[in-house]
Formats: sequence, C-alpha cells, structure tokens
Amino acid sequence: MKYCLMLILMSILLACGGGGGGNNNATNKNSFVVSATALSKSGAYGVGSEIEIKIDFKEAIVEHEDNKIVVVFQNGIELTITNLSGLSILATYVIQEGDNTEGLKIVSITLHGPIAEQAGKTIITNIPLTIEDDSNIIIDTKHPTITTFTAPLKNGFYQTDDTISITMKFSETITLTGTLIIEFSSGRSSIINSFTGDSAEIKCKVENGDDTAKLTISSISLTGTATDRAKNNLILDLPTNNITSPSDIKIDTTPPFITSFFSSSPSGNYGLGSTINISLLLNESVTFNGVLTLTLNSGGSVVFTTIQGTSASSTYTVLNGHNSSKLSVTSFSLEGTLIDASGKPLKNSMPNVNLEDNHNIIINTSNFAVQSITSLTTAGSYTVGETIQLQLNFEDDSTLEGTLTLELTSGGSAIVNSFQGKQAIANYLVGTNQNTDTLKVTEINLNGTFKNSLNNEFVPTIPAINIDNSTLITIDTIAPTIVSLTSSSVNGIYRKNDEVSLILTLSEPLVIDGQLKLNLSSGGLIAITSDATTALNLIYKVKTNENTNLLSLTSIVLTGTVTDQAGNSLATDLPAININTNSTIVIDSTSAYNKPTQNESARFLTQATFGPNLDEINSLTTKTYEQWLSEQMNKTPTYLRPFLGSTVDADLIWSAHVEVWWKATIFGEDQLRQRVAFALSEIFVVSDQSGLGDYKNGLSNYYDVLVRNAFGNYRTLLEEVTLSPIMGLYLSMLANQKPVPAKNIRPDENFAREVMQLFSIGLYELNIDGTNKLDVEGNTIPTYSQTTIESFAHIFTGWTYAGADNFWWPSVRETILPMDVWIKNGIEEYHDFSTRTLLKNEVLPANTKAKDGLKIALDNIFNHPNVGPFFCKQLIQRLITSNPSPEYVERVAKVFNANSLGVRGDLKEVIEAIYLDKEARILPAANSNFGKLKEPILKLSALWRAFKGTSNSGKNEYRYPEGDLLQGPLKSPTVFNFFQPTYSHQGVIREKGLVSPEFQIHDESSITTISNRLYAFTKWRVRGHDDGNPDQNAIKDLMFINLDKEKQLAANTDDLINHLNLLLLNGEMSAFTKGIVKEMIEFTTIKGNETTDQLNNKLRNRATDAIIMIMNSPDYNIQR
Amino acid sequence: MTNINRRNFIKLGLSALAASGCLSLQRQLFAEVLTQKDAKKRKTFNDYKALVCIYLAGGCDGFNLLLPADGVAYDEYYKVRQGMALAKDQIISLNPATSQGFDIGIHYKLPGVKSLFESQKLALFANIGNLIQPITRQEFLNNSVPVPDQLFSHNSQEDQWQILSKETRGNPGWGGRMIDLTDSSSSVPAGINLSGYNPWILGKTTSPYKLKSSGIVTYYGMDNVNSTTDMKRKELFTKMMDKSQFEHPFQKSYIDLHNNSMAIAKKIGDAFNNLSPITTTIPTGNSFAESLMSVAKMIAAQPELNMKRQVFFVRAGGYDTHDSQLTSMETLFKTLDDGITMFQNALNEYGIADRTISFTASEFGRTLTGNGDGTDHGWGSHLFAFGNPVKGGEIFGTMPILEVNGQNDSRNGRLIPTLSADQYASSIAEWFGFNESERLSLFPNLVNFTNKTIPFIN
Repeated sequence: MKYCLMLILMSILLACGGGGGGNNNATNKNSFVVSATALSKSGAYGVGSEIEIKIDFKEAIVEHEDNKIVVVFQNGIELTITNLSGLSILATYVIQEGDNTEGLKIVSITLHGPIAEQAGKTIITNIPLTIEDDSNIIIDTKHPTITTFTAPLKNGFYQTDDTISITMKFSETITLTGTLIIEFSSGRSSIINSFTGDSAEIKCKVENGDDTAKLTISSISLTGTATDRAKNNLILDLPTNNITSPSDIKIDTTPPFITSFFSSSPSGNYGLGSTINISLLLNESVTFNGVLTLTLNSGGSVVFTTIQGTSASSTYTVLNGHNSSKLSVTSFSLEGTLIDASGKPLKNSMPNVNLEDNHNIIINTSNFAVQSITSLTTAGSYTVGETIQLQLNFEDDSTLEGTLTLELTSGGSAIVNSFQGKQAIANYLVGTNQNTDTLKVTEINLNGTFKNSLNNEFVPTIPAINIDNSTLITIDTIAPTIVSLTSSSVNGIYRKNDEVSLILTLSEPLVIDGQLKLNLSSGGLIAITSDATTALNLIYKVKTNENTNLLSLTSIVLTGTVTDQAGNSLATDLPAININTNSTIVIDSTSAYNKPTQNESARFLTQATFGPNLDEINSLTTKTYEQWLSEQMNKTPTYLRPFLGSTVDADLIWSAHVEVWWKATIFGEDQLRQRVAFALSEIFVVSDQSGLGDYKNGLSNYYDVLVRNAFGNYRTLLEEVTLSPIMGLYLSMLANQKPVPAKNIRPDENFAREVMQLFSIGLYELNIDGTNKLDVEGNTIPTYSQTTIESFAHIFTGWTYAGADNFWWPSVRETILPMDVWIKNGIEEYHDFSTRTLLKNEVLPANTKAKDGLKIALDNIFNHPNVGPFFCKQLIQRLITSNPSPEYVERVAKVFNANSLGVRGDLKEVIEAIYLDKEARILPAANSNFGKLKEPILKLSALWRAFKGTSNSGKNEYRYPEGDLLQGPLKSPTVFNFFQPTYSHQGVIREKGLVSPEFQIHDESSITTISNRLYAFTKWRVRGHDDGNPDQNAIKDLMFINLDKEKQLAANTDDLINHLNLLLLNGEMSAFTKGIVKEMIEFTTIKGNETTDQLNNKLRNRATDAIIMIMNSPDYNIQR
Repeated sequence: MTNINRRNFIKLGLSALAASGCLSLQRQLFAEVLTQKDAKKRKTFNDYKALVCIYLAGGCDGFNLLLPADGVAYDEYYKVRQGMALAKDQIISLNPATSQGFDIGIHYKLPGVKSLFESQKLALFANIGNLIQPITRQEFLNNSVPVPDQLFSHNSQEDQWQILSKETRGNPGWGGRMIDLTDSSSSVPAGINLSGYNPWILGKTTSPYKLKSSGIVTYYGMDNVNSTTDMKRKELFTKMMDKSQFEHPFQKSYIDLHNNSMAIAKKIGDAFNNLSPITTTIPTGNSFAESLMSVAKMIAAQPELNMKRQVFFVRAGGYDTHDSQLTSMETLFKTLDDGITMFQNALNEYGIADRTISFTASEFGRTLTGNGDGTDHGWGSHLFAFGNPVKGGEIFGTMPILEVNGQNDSRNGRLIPTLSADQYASSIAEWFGFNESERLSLFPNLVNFTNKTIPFIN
C-alpha cells in the first residue's frame, strides 16, 4: 500500500547530501521507526522529479483514523502522513523550484494517535534518513542559459564566402537532443545538432550584401530537448553579449557602383554648343584616381576626373552631329582606379536610374527648314497690285537676321525680313505679266543668318506643303474680254415686248458686283448683274422707243466692278463678232399697237387708280402703259397730313384723317401712288378702331409713310412702319420693355408676331411662286416658332416716343417722328441685351444696342425668301386679281428679289411688274376665274372720280365709311385687315378652290348697305340739283357728282350706255346687263313736251338710274 | 420619348383609317362622304332650341375674369400677375356648389354674371382651351404630344376654336356643322350671324344669314310701293341678279348675297314687326347688347319663322389686351355684363329663356405674366355659359396653379388647358340633340378625351 505524502509547507528541504549518505544508515534500535529510506536511485533530480521515501516500523501499525506521522526535515518543514497501517509506508516527495540537496535530511519523525500508544508514547527524534542503496541523490532546480556569442576577430573585413565561427557558451553543461536553430538578422539560419557540453560552435558563411548587423543573432529556437543534468530546460533567451555588442567584426561584401545618372539641366531641346550638366551618384564613398568617361546616346561623351563623396558632376557640350531622342548614358569606362574602403573596385554595371528616367533632354543638332508654306490670302485669282500674304511655318521659334527671298512660279517673289518666331509672313505683291495657275514657291534664298532656337542652321529646301496644297492661288494679270455677242433669234423685225435671244461669249467667267451693261444700237440695253459664265444666254426684250435697222452692240459700260476671278476688269472693247456680223435683227417699237385703246385704258385705270375718268382714259390712249407708270411715279406725292391744316389733334374733328384721305385719293394727281399706298395700308395695318382715333395727325402721317415709300424699297418701308409711333401704339412695340423677372414682366410679343405673320413672311415657307413648300410628308413648314417670336419681342424692346421725358407716360406724345430708344444716363434702360436667335438660325449677339438690333432683325426678316412671294402676292390680290397664277406671282416675286440692277425689295419695279404682267394686261376670257370683287370704298371713289365729285368746302363729310361699307382708310377692325388674303367664300368659290378676300366683308347685310350708300350718293347728291340748300353751311362738306355730260347723253339711251360702259365697265358690259340698264333708262320716257326743268329731271333720273343699276350689276362688281 | 409633331400624328391617324396613304386624297374623300351622307344624317326636331356663341375676340384674359378672391390662393395670383393683378376689392366673391378649396370670385365689373351664377343659371369653366388631346407640361416641353397648329396666333386659334377639326383651313365651323345635320323647313337660315365673318357659323352645306346688330336692312329705292320707279327698279334689280347669266364664280356669289338679302330680310322684318313689345331696353351705346337684342327677337320670332334649331354668333371685340389691360378690361367686362344681363331679361320677357343657352368662347387666354402694361397671347382660359338649361352656380374643371413654369404652365405663363373646347362643344351639341357617335364625328378630336361632355346642362 502506498501512502500519499501530503506536503503541508511550501518549502520542505529534502536534503540529500551525497557526502552525508553514510549517516542515513544509522538506526535507533529503540525507535518504533526502524528506518526511513529513500528508494530513488542516485542522480540529479530537478523540479517535478519525485523522490520516493519508505518508512519501516518496528511492528505493524493498526489502522486507526487518528494515526498520523509527522516528519520534520532539517529545515523545519513538516510532512504529515495519515491513514497508516502495516509495517511500512511509502511517501513520495515532488521537487519544487528552489529545492536543493542540503535539505534532504530528516530531523524527526513523530508519531501521533494510537500508533503513539502502540509505540509506547515515545517521541522519536533524530531518526536519520537511510538510503536504500548507496545512490547519491542530488537536487538541482536551476535552468541552464546561453551566456555569450563570440566570434574571433579578423584583421580587416570578412569578405564574401568567409566562414565565421561563432562560439555559443552555456551556463552549464547541457545535453541537446534534437536541433537548435540560430536565426540571424539577415534571415538566414544555422543549426546545431545533438551534443553535450557547455559550448557549441556555429558556422556562418558571409554572403554578398552581408554586414555586421546582418550577422546579429535575432532568435534561437529548439526542436527536441536541451537540458542540464537535472533535466532543467535550457532558457533560449539571447545573451546580452551578442556578436555585435560590442563587436569588431567588419564585413564588406559590396563593391562600389553607380546608382544613377542625372542632370540639373532642365528638360528640353538642346542644340549645337549647348552644355548640359550631367551628374552621377555612387552607392558609397570611393577613392578615385583616374578618368571616368560616360558615353551618351547622342554620340557625345562626358568626362569625370574627380569624385567627392558619393557624387560627381560634369558637363556635356553638344557638338555637331550629336542627336538623340531622350538623352541617356549608354555605357561608361574607367581609366585608373576607383575603389571603396574595403578596396573593392568600381563595379562595371549600368545604374538602374539613367538620365532618361528623370529627364527629357533632347539633343538636336540637325538643320531646320520651312515645314510648310501656306497662304493667308484666300484661295482665288489675283491680279496686278494685289498682295498675297504667304506664311512660312517653322517647327519652333527661329531667328532670321537678314532676308529670305521666295521665288514664285508666277515669276514674282516675296521677301521675308528679319523676324523671330514660328511663323514668318512674306508679302507677294503681284506685278505685271505675272501669271500662274497654281502659285508655288520654287526657290528659297537666304541672305544673312537664320537659326532656330536650338541655334541650328537653316536649310533652304522647299516643303511638301507649298501654298497650293492648302490654298489654290492663281495669279492672273490678263484682262477678260468679250469674245462675241451673237443672236440665236431668227432674222426679222422685233417689236415692243418681243424678245431677242442673244449669246454672249466671254474669254473667261466674270464676277459682277454692279453691272455689265451692253448698250444696243436700238437704244435698248441688257444689264447683267450676276456672275457670268463664259457662255451667257441673254434675252433682250424690246421696250418703247427702241428702234434700229440692224441690232448691234454699240458699247460696253461697266458699273461697279466687272472682273474675272482675279479682279481684272473686263476690257470694254467691242468684240470682233457682233450681233450684226451674222444676223439681221431689226428693232421697231414705234408701231401704234403699243398704245392702249379706250377700253384698255379704262381697264388699266380701274386697276391702277381710285377710278377712271374720261380725261384720264383719253390721255392714256396717247401713250404706253410704261409711260403712264413712269409719269405717275414721277409725280409729286400727295400727302395727307398737310391737308389737315393743324398739327394739334384736339383742333381736328374726329376722323379728320379720313377726310384728308378722300382729298388725296379723289383729287390727287399721283393716283397710282395713292392706289398702292391704300393697298399697303391693307397689309401694314394700323387702325383708328383701337383707341388711336385721337391721333389724326399721327394716323395721317402713318399713311404718308406708305405714300412716300410706295415706290421705294420694301426694307425702308418696313423700318419706317416699324418705327412709326402709330404702329408702336397699335401693336404695342412702343414702351415695350425688357423682361423684369421679379414682376413677371416679359417683352410684348404683339408686333414681333405680326411683323412676321402679316407684314413680311407669313406662317408657312413658300415657294417663289407663292405656293406652300411641303416637307417630305407633304405638310406645310412653319416659318418660325414661338421662340422666334420671343426673340424678336426681346429685340424690339426699349423704344418709346421720340423726345419722351418718361418711357411710358411722357408729357408730350410725339406721334409724327419715328420712335426712339429710351436712353437714361447713357443707358438703354428698357432694352434687352440678351443674345437671340432669329429666322434661319441667324444669331443676334448679346449686348447689341436697340437700334443695331432692330436693323439686324429687320434685315433678317427682309432677307427671308418668303417676303417676295408673300408680299407680292398680296399686292397683286389688292390691285389685280384674287387668284393670281403661281407663274404671275413668281414673275413679280423675282423682280422683288432682284430688280434690273439686282437690288432686292425695289417696289417701283415690283409695281411695274404687277401692272405690266401679261396676266394683268390680257383681258381674261368670260369663263376665267381672273379678277376680284371690288372693294366697297373703291366703288364709291370710282363714282366720285368718274362723275367729278366735289364739295363746296373741299372737304368730305363722309368720315365713317366703315358703317355701311365695312371698310375705310385705317379703319380695319383688327390687324388682320378687313379681309384676309386666304378667305374663301362659302359656296361655288370655295368649291372651286379659289380665295376671295373682299367677300369677307360682303354679307346679306353689307351687300345692301353698300348698295344703299352708292344709291344715296348718286341719287341724292347731284350738283345743280341737290346743292341748292339755303343753308349752304349744312351742305358745304357734302360731295356732289357732276352729271352734265351724262345728262347731255341721256336723251339717247345707247349714247348714255356706251359712255357709262366705258367709264365704269371698261366697255365690257354684257348684253344681258345692257338690256337691263336700257330698260331702266327708258322707264323714264321723254315725250318731247317737258319743260326744261322736267326734262332736266328726267335726264338726271335716267343718268342716275343707269349709274345705280350698272354699279349694282354683277358685271361691274367683279373687277376683271 | 418619341418626338411627334401634330402633322405626323394626323398622318398616322389617317393612314390607319384607310390603306391609301395620300393625305390630300383622304381629306377629299372625307369631304365627299360628308356631303353625300348629309341628307341622310339630317335630324328632325320638333322642339326649339337656340344656341348663342358669344365670341370674346382677341383672346379674353380669363385669369382676371375668374380668380382667387382671398387667402394664399390670392397671394399666389397676385405674385404671378403683379401689375396685371386685380385688387381684392375689385373681386366679387362667389360661392360655387363645389368649392375649389379657396375663396374664389369674379371681376367686379361682372355683377350680372354673379347674379346669374347665384340664380343657378350660369356656369363657369376653369382653364379651358384648344387641345388635340390631353397634354402635360412635360409632354408639351418634349413635343411628344400633338397640339393645335400655330398656338398663340389669333386667326389660327380662332379657326381652331370655331372649327374644332383636325384640319381647320377651309373646313366649316362646328356651329355650322350642327346646322348641316339639322333638318330645317324654314326658308330663313338656321345660322344667324350678328357679326363679321366667322368660321363657327359657316356650314358645309348651309350658310348663315347676316343680321345687322340693329336688325334687318332693306334696299334704298326699291320699297316705296307708291313709286313706280322703285317698283321698276326692284323688278329690274331682281331680274339682273340671275346667276344663269353669269359665269364667274365671284359674280354668282355676289348675286347669291343680294338674293338672300332681299328674300330673307323681308321675312325677318315682318316677323319682328309682329312681336309684342317688351320693357327691357338696350343699354346706351352698347352695340354688343344691341346685337343680343336682335338675337332675342329672332328667338322670339321662331314660331312665325318655323325654326327648330338656331345658332347665333355675336362677337365682342377688343380682348387682345396687349396694353392698358386693366382699364380696357373694365370697359370690356361692363359691356359684356350689361349685354348678357339685358339678354337674359329679354329672353325672360319673351318667355323663351328655357330654350336658350349662351356660351362664351375666345381663341385663347392671356399670359399669366405681363408685358408691363398688358398681356400676350396665352392658351387656357376661364369662360362661362348661361341660360335656363344651364346647371349654374358651379365651376366646372379645376382652377389651374397660377405659377410660371408650374405644372399647368406650358412655358412663360401660357397655361395648358385642362378642359378642351371639344368637351365644351360636345356638351352643347348633346343638349342640341346629337348622340355620342354623332358628336364623335362632329368633333374629330373628342375621341382623345375620356370625358366626352362636361355635365353643365340640366
């Protein structure tokens, strides 16, 4: 049985002295304890080892729960053993840290409890511990340690591949079973295999790159066991005395080498003679005695003779022929010695960092040349006196001191004077007899020095880009000529309006800015106003007073410039081949058929005046239409405003402007002008129906604008209309202000919209013949968008009355002078300056002033291709026919686009074209749709003009024609005029697809009131009959017609009818109508027995009844 | 999003109708079919109804006709209108059957409108205008939904309003189209036009008669039965107006006008002469009211003229208020208000108020924003209709958000209508006696709207 030995004190010293072993054999025969014996064998025992002790008794111990033995060791520690029985017990002692051999000696063993009784209550002391055999037990709890690493010194440096023997010492002898691994700072390791001893040797081989620090032992690890004799484990802590601390071991395994080449010179291009600093860096300080030469990729080299520390600098001078992309060192060579401290020589390897890695140094010693020669002058042909500006382009800045002379293919030359820069300009002044199809430089000559920024020399080679590659310049100093003018028409006599076809042959194409006028022997001329090719088909249309026996070209007159492409003026010599060389063309315009008949005259005057009268009809039969038009256009204009008699509106009666309008239109000699002005007033509509009635002067003046510009230019007219304060009031451009976002105020769009929709271009894109353009899907194309309107609305801001002292409410409202821009303190205070997109995407730049913007905007509108067809078609509708053929519109629109001098918008020629067009002049067939419903007011004016209407005062009280006639001057209900050009009356007119503008104001009511008004002014206002009122003041302003002539004729029905037929119906009265009128006249029978008064009344009644019936007739009402 | 303009849309629509893709041919076929079917389609009515179109020419500023009267809504109104805003004391409060969620009122020069509204005889319409189909602001900005051609142009939008067709040019107006479909046994045209030319009243197969505001006019020198010359002149004049003698279409049309004038003026004149006098008088100097009085007389004379359905057109001009708007509107609204008040009184006196509906129309509203002194051409606007059959005292539609570039704005304060003129016209046509399929054919764009009518007629 084994007893558990309980340790009750922490430090029992179990002395086990080797030397005292003999004492253990001592026994006390009287003692109950026979012996105490260590059973363990001899040897060293460390911590945790167990020492087994056997205690023998004299007699067997009876087991009793109170029995116990207390063993006291020499150092006083007690060991209590309980539960005893038998003759002997075994106890085990586990060695603790700090135990040692000395304590292993029992001082006493004391028995307690019944055992003590058994033993005679004897306390036994000094019982020696006896060892079973002679083993020497040693207790050792101390761990072995590493004490030092040492290595033998060497004179100089350990070099690569040297083996360093490092001795590792331990605090005591250890036994290694397995491997100790020694790690160095370098990351390498050595191992020590199993051994026993107090030191070990570590072999360490020096490798490239090693240094002392790298041979420091950084850690030690163990695989297996390393213990001392008592099995205490080796402590693996590094000793303070490591190899390096302190160490005299010096290691150098690295030779000196170059780590980098670099330069302190900036990146860039370097030419001949440049110096470039080049430096090198070494990995360590060296001793240098000799010459180190670097070879560069440019072909050059750099020499170093001294190196201080780890760096050296030298300079590289660029020599002729040196070139490189990025400069770099390609190799180096050493003469002499360059060693480091350990004597290692310079390693012959290129550094990792070369010049090109940190610099972009380009060596360029090549000569430079012109890269390209271009022309700053645009492509084209040029002639004597013109300068062609050539530009020489170089790669970089170059400096010329002296001159470069460029020899040219034309025979001329251009000189470049001293300059500095990348570009040089050479002006070539074209001289006489210099010609070339394609101008090129043939030679470049340098006089002086010419170097580029790298100091390299110029080479005068001709570049690949040599003017013509970029811009084709032709030098042409030869004047164009007329080669021939021939006729392709048959020989014979040509009369007025006949056309002779001519072919003009030119030596080369012409650019015409102005006109080339060919004067013919007939007195006629052909004006060529647009650029011409070498073969030109011309039409000579014979006009009045042009006559010749043989048609020929008599002179050539140039206006403006008529040149070839190069600008050489056309030679005005007559050509060798003239018309009469090969043709016999006779011109004769004097034949009488060119003069209109009475009926033709009356018809023409119906279209061109406020109504024909007999004198005018007869006068026209003695001349041609052209003469009449020309005379009319040259007549002094009759203006309305001077007739008013007062410039103070308040002094004038209401609608005074109508009164003076009657005066001008009934009595004005300038009938054509008045008629056209009235037509214009129905296009550029303003109206007294919208609060303008107060401004009689302004309204009259507005009408005068139309009168004045009737034969002027549309563009001028458009601007005067635009700036008229009356238009400004009517369509609210006056006091139209820029946006005020804070007040949600935008510019007024009224005028902006209507100037386009009604005055100029209309809603849809038009062909030249006035028909709608259609897109690919067959739809009309809008001319503008809401955005366009807003653009114009913004541009048309900032205007008010001229001389106004307040933008909105000036103390004086100037209704005569054009509106003006409101400027306060030099600022156009209410004008919007933003950029705007106009028609056809033209852009008005920001910051454009009001006046400039207005001109640009009106030009933009004026130049829209719609204006010609849109405006001219309406003029034709007003004057001639509601449904002009597209061809008619096209003929007139073309004149609008370019008159005989190529000018756009000339109304004089437009009016001529409208009236002289064959569609207007040829009497239409009875079943033709040609013509228009007469405007009511023109029927009334025709009555007064045909029958010499006059008032006693010269005034006309009929100031409100709109009541019965639904129209009057400047009295349209809206800006859309009394009627719109597209109105198509319901019924047969619409079914035929025709438009009938004037029908818009004709309805069941107005058809009657119009008729009644004519009735009243005919029947009840006859001079000599109805003007006898005793109160002459009451009738002084009434218009009375004079029927003296008609009364003379009235006795004879046919005479009266024929007279009225001519006067009112151009002699075109139908037989049906004649029958009705005849019946009406003859209802008043003349029996021959009447008194003078009775006869006078009857004759007057006959005349008035006839006039009324005719003026109500369908024949009369449709102007054809 | 597909960018589609109106024309493409129409083209697609027509292509879908028939295999033939030619647009003009389609239009022609459409017109011919209409003509041939007209006779068959004509409806016979036994009762009498009169419709009066009061056209506010120039584009009436509805935003100052019907407007927020107080509170936040008024503040928003004031903020957007600024110089064009009415002061609170220039607004007469209304109490509609259904609240718009804020105090609402009308221009103070419209007390007659208020009175009719309160007596349940006048209905207001919020934000109504020309549309092809419903459209949102985003769709408008993207140009992804078709809108009427030439928005904001007077004559284009006047045509659109009055014709309400896919193609306006040359087409008859919807007033006239309704008359085309109505059988009439009277020799007096069913369309009576009190103003100048307008497309609304022109039919394809029927023409209106123009009645001067003051009544009928007769020829001078023809009516004195004691003058043999007059009698002779009349005889010869009548003889001269013989279409068979003239070839020119203009001459034929000219003759038609004279013949109509002579024939119809007498009939109407006689009928007027037989009317019992009434006490209602025309306000002085108000020719608009004078026209309405002639309308009232025509309606009153219907038993003698044997009319069943009549349409009238009366124009009230001057609404294109680009400048001096605030003062002009006072005069305009006073004229309007006096006129309709007088008209309703006259109808009451004649005992024919139960058979008449009058409605206002205008080519467009004005911009919310001003131009300093006035406003420019807008789009949606507010209108009203009145008469005994009208379910009055109510505002139909939703008051728009009065905000520039807000959700109801197309751009720069031109509000997108949320009620269409087609829906308005269709409601009137329904009352006039046309069923839905007839109305879908009368108003080609109506198919694009979910609600085919506005329920404002009892």
